[in-house]
Amino acid sequence: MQPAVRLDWNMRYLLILLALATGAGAAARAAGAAPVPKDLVKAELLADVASVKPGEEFTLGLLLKIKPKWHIYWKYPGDAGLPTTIKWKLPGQSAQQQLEVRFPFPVRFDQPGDVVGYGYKDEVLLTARVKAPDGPVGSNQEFAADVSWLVCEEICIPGKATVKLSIPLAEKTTAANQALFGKWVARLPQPADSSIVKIAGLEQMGQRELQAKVEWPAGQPIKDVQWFPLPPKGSGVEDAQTKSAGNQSILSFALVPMPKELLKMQFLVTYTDSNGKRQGVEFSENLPTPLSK
Amino acid sequence: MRKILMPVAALAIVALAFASFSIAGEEKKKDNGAQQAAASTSAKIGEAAPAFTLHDINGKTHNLADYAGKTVVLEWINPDCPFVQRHYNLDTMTNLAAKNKDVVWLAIATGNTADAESLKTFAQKESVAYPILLDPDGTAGKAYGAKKTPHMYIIGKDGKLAYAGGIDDQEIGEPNAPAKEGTVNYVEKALGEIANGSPVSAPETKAYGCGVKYKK
Repeated sequence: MQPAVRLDWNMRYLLILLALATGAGAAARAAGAAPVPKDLVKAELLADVASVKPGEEFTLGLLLKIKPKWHIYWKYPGDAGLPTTIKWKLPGQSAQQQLEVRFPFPVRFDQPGDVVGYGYKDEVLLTARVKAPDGPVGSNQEFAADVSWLVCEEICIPGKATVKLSIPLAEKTTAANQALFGKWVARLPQPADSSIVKIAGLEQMGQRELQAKVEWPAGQPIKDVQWFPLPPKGSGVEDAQTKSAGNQSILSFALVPMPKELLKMQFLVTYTDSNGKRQGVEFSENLPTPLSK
Repeated sequence: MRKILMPVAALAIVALAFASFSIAGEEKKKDNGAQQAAASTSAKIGEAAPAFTLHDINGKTHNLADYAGKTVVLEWINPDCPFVQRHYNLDTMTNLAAKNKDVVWLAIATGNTADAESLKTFAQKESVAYPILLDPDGTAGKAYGAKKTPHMYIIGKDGKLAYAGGIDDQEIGEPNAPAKEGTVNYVEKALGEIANGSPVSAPETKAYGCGVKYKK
C-alpha cells in the first residue's frame, strides 16, 4: 500500500500535527522525542529579470533557504547523503526540457568518523540559463521547477517542493534581483584555464587508488585549497585526502567500484586567491587506461 | 468497515513514517574541520575480515570468530535514516535474511545510534529476526570503513571479506518510495554466487545512504 507519497509540505505538517494529536506519533517513539523541525528548507523560484524580451536569454534561480545547522547536498554528496535535484517545466515545451543546473561552490562538512559531505548551509541559489519564449509580447509565461533534497543535521529528512514563477514578455528586458544573482553567480566555478591553474593529470597509483594534481603559476600565493570530486555515475569516492604545498595540490582517493570502461571524471577545486577571494575551477580528466580491476 | 479502516490505516502509516523523523538528536553536532583523516585502514576485499566482539540489543555477546566457517552478512543500520526506513518498509533486508537461512545476518548500530531500547522498538515493529549489535564507540564501524547506513559487507566461509558496498543500485532516500523495477540487489547476487562456489562478480559497489553517526 502506498499512502500519500506526493504530499506537499503543508499537507505533511498537517498530517504530522494530526499524528501527534492522535498520539500515534508519541506511541511510535520513546518519550522525549523533540517535535519535527518545521520549514527545514524553503524553496523559491526567482529570475534575474522582472520582464523579458521574447527570445532573450536570462537566468532562473532556485533559492533554497536552509534552517541553521542543517545542510543539503551538492551534485555529489560525498560520503553520505543525496544530491539536490531539479526538474524544470518550461513554457511552450511539450516535452520536459532540462536545463543545466549551475551549482555554486559547496562547503565541506567533516563529521566524526571521517564522514565527509559536500553541500550548502543557510542559503544557496542554484541557477540555470534559459531562453524566453518567442512571444507574444504582453503574455505571462510560467516557469516551474520540481526540486528534491535531503536535509541533514543529526538526522536526515527527504523533502521536495514545486515552485513556480510567472514572467511577462515585454518589449524590453527589465533586470531584477541583481544583488542576489550577482552574489551567487560569482561563486560559480570557472573552466580550468592553464593561465589560472594547470591540470597536472590524473594517475592510477594502486588497484583502486588515483591521484589528481593541479599547479598554480609560480609565485601566486594560494590558500585553503579544497577538492570536490565528482565520480562517474555508479561509483563513489572513498579515502579522499588532500595534500597542498607551495603552488601544488594533490587529491588522492579511491574510486569504488573502479569503472570497467574509460570514463571522464570531473573535479572542482576551490581556493582563496591573493586577494582573499574564494575561487573555483572545474575540469574533467579521462580516467587512466587501462583500468585494472 | 473497510471504508473507515483504509483512511485510518493510511493516516497511521503516514504518522509512523513521519514520527520516526521526530527524534531530533539531543546531541548537537558541530562540523569538525580538524577531523584527523584516518589512513586507509578499512577492511579490504580478499583479506581477513576484521575481528569484533559486540553485545546485541538483548545483551548477548557476538564474536565474529563464533561464526567461523559460515557466510556472514554485516548490515550497518540506523532506524532514523530514511534510506534504512525505505528498505525496512520494503522488507528488503528481512526477506533476504529469511531466504538465506544458512547465512548469519548481523545488523550493527554504530555511534549515537547504538541505543538498545529504541532499536528493540524498531526490531519489534519491523519483525527483525536477526541480532542487532551495538557498536557505541565505533570500533567495528571504523575497522570495516562503514560510512553509510545501509552499508553492507559479506564475509565468506574462509573468514575473508567477500563483498563491501550498497544493498542495491537504487539511491532513493524517500521512506515510502516503492520498489523500483529492475533493481539489482548486489547482496542477494553476491550471496547466490558464494552459495554456488563462484567468485563474487561485483565485490565492491557504491554504498549510499545517511552517514554513520560516529561519536566525537
